[in-house]
Amino acid sequence: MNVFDRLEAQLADAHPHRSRRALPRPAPRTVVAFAAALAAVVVVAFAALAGDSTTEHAGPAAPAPAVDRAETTVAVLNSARTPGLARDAATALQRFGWKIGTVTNGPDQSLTTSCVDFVPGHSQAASTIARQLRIRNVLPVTKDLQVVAGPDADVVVVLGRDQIARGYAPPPAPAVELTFRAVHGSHGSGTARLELRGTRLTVVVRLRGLSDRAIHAVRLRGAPGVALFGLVAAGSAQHGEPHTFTTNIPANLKPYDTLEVVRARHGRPDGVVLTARVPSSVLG
Amino acid sequence: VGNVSDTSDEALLLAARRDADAFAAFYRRHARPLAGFLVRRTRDPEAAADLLAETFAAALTGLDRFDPARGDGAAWLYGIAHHQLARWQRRGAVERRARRRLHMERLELSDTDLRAVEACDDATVALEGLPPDQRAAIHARVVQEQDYAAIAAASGSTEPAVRQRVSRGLAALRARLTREEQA
Repeated sequence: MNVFDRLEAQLADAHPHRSRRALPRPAPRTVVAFAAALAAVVVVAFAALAGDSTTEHAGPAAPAPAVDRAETTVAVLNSARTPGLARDAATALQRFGWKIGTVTNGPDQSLTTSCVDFVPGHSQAASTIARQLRIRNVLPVTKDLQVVAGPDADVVVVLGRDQIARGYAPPPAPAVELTFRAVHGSHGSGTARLELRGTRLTVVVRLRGLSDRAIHAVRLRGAPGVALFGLVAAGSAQHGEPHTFTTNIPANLKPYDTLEVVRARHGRPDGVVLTARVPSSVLG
Repeated sequence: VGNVSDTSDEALLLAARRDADAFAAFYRRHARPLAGFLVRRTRDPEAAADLLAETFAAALTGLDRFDPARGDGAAWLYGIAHHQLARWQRRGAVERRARRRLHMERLELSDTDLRAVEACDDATVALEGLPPDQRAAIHARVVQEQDYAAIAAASGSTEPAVRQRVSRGLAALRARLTREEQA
């Protein structure tokens, strides 16, 4: 649970008329039991099922609880008899933001089909990891795997022979620094730092000298149209304070070639004020 | 409480006197934008998290004093936050009175927690307090520059309704930002 959930739980406990907990709950046990009973190949759809049940209990306004990758420990076990396979997969998972736990050989050394096992409550994380590594099987963890993976593991990736030829994603591209230039007739300046990790693109913009009355939108433009990063509030686009936007982007960023700052006033876009070319080196 | 996303802050705060879920809904709507405001003011995520906890605790203990006739719910919450900020600036320490009254322990903060609090200093978070329809309309109109007819068609709504969502959403954002300026 992150700090906001913990504070919510404290406040719910402290409320004089607390009726039921407004806490997001872990995936219900019944679903896990169902999966265990099935004890065969359970596909990703299962995790979606668990996800739905979780949201249902979380109260009317709660969004589906997000998986905190930095707080989810992933153990990687090599069951394919290929040295370095687990290490490579762990590096790839680290790039996706997961916390890596034990990386070692699995109990079985001739597994053909890889799978992602989860400790109860971590089915959503497991299905995300399965998608990232293109592994089809998502299962509740067994005791013997848990012993090898260690007590801190939330998710255990067991690599079989089908992962040998996989190859993992290339290392992330270095961050790129851009300088905005003012569009004719506008004033103001700024810089942007773009960093692509896996499919997460982080953009940090620092803007100076823009109108303090208007809300500014920061966006990517290219052949497919525009992609949103976010809005910089009125009054905070003047002094070069950093604004960080992180977004999931399609694997191919190439069609987007311009980063723009657009002014919005009186409920309508009031023109592009700053632009910067996005070099192809940000694509990795 | 019914459909929470359509319920006004004022209605939630009035319901929250007897209903913990209404208070939780109010908390979820405002916690992150308020954390962002506190981070901008303090430049210290730890102090911001502490002030956030004390502000909501003070709001919870003071629910009976909230009077919708004297201002909207968000303004009331930010008023409490301003008060806490001023005390913190004067004394160099965050007040604990409301949390003590409620027997709330001080939250232990990990690096991940601090980063999560710091990440609230992001204007997209400011949109979180808006109803989803207004948020979607602002994205479509202001960021993607779609015209009102297209947005209306895509969202199965009418043009005047979309116009109203955009202008109400922007007005709400402006009001919140103005409150933040008036420290």
